[in-house]
Amino acid sequence: MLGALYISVEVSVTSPAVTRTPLVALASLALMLPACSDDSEESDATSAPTESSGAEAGSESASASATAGGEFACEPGAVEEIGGDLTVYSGRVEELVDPLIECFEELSGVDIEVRYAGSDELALQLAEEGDDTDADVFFSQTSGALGVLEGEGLLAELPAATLDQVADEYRSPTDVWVGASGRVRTFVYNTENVAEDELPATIDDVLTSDWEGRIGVAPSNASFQDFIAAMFLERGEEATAEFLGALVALEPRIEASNVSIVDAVGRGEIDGGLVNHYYGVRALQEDPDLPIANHFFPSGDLGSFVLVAGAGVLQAGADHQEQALAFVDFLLTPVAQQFFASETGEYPIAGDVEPPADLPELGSVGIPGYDEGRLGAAITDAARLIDESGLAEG
Amino acid sequence: MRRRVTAAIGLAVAATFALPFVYLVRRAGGDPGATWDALFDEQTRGPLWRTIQLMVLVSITTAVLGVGLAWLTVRTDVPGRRVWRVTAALPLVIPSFVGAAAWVLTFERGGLVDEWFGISSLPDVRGLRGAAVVLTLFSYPYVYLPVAARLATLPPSLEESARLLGRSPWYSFRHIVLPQCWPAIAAGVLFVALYTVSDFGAVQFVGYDTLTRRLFANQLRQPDVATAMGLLLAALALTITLAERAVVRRARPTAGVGSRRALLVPLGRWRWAALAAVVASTVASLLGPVGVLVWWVVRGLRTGAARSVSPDLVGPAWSSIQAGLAAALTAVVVVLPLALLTVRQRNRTAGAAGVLVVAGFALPGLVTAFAVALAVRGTPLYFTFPVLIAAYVLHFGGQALRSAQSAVTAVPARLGEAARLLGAPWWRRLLRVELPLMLPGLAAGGGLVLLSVLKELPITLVLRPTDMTTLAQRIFATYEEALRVDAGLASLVLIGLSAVLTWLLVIRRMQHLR
Repeated sequence: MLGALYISVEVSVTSPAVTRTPLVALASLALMLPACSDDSEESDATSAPTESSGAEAGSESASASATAGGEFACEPGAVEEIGGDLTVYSGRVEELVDPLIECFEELSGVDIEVRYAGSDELALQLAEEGDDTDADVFFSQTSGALGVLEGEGLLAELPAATLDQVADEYRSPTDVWVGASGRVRTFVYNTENVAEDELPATIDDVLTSDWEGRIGVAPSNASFQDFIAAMFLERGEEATAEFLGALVALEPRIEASNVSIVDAVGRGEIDGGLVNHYYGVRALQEDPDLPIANHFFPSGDLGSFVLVAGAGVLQAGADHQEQALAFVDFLLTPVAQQFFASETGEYPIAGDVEPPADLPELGSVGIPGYDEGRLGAAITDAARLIDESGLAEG
Repeated sequence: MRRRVTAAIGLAVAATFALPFVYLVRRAGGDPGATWDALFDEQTRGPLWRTIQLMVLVSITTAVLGVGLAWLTVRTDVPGRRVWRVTAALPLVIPSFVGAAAWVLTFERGGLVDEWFGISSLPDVRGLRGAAVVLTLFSYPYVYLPVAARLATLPPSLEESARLLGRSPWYSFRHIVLPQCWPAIAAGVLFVALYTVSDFGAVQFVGYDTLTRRLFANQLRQPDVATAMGLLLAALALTITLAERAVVRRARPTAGVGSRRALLVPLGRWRWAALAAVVASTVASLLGPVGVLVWWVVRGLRTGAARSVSPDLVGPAWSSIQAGLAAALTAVVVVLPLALLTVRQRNRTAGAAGVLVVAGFALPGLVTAFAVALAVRGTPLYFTFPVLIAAYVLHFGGQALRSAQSAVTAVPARLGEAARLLGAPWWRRLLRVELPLMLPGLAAGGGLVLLSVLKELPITLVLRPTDMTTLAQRIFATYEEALRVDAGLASLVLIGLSAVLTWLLVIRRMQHLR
């Protein structure tokens, strides 16, 4: 019966045979994504595990139309033409979000300058810059970094019309930032070394001795720290310390990042790892033979916690308020939401754009009603607990 | 009068290079209680002890590898030495996280060696051992470059005498060459130690929790812990630097610059064994990682992951070159007066300034970056190229200083005296007599700064002009997002560029090596 509580969806991406230009590659990849099997089946967490195997995905992809996964197109009308200047500090990587930025620039006529760096570094920099900053918008990879600026009182309140496009759980508790896309925590595993009935049903099942010495975690990675922050808020200090202690007892492989966990799982050096969902997706795009798959914990389980990337407007950026708000609104339009779904492999969280075809519905993962916005307040405690557990010391 | 001028120069340099240290103290002052608690917390002991262990281990291994390679490629008839002289310097430019990633990917269970040769019972490449191996492979050029420069300018007469007296090459290496190289070796090892202490990429990758790793992990989430780690790093850096200074002071090598080509030692039947050693080291530290990078690119392109390839690497490459050259040149110009003051006049203030200049290298780049940012924030200088270069010099200037000091030491005082007797003014003596003799050493120092800047990340991220993108930035960002085709391509361009620049600017300048 336990087995029926989780959903296992194999991530599989068939490679296009020939790709001449990045654009063709983009289009063909979007087409090649396995078509979404029956939605109702996948969104129903109590149904038997569903999966779309590589073979099925391959055969389906030929007939899949562009509407199955959707495609990003920079359509006019998404944003009004207003002109002016805007400075964005982006914790999201240029290689991923540049087309989106360019689209906004083209449609709005706003002359946009983007400063790229890590979200944590930019949050620190913004905190130090205070009122002196040139930044108008902070586009962050993590809600934790936004939460820090929220705590420092550096972000301006957003209009209700903007905030209301996103469910309460994916935005700031004090209305100063809004989520734009989501990634779900998953258990990536080696399909050759792990049988499906062996997979942990809940995040706590990972702690059984079956997994001793077999899993990888990245304790210094922001997404792991945010996951522990969520646990801290949900279960309190003692239970979180207990979880971390049990995790340490498993002697997990301490990895630098989600990427290196996925690599190690692919090599069979470890059998599973706690990561965000899209790293496995990308690894398979570069090496389709990699024996890895994402295993999703059921809705309501902390293991399938949804982390949001989002944006806020700086108080100091009052001169460019109009452009800043237009940019944040733009991130929530169907055009941008489709971009996140088909280009970065994330969950759209505003409007009704379909998630990437190889992912379960948002309703079947994540924690319903969970207030992501509170995370910022818990990240210090989470980092402290991780330090105290000795997890990082390997 | 002259005394006062030199003291003023020393003070000005000291004040500038003290900036990162002052910044740390200022940060600690924000909430002294919390920083104090973090400093003496039980959880601080582990990272401190691990940092010291790693530092000592890597210092020893790099000394052996760096001196060995320098001697083999510069002073023996090992086949292909002209090529090895260049390649031996290059591992320095491989960002440590790329090197660590390549290392783990090659040797870990299920890695390339396992996959291709079926060898799966390889030793563990994680933890202290993994960190030490990776850092040795990618930081030994700090020893290799200054020692090679010194070896190239050693007068051959003593060795010739030893050979005439029937001594073995090993004897002359041990008793003649090595003692003359002490300052260069000590300087190199010092930088290895400081680099090891400040490294984030390698220890992060192999899961070895050091002070710097803890600083990075906590910078935003537990700022007090990060500050405490920074203060410990500062204390450690000053201790190491002062210790090295004490060691070098005691050893007084005979100054001397050969007027003739340095002596080549015939290795005889050891020639091929020596070649094997050089090749093995090149494979481990350069060809191996390059192979992995090529494999990422080829595999990714073949399987159609081309979606991630962003074509523009020319712009970032150009930015990297500009930044690297500007910083190298500035660093040499800034530290030369200090080198002259410390070596020739043994000026106290200048000596203290020298310690600060060198020790700053052990502070993680992030600390230097935020210190400089704080100093120029709110002025039009914020996010400008000159300030970025200044921060690089602040961080890496010590590398140029030590090489410059070695270069100054190597110029025999009698040459200057002779010129003075002939009535040449000081600037003329410097320009016509001394500078040409110092050039190889100065170029080696500038080269170190150049290679360091090419792979630098935190300072670039915090201070660069907003429209500037460097190769190192591209590598890190794409790697973090699992876009390995891009990360691989950018890394290969970085390594290729460094090869060309190192050869043009450093190796060719070691005039005797041509």
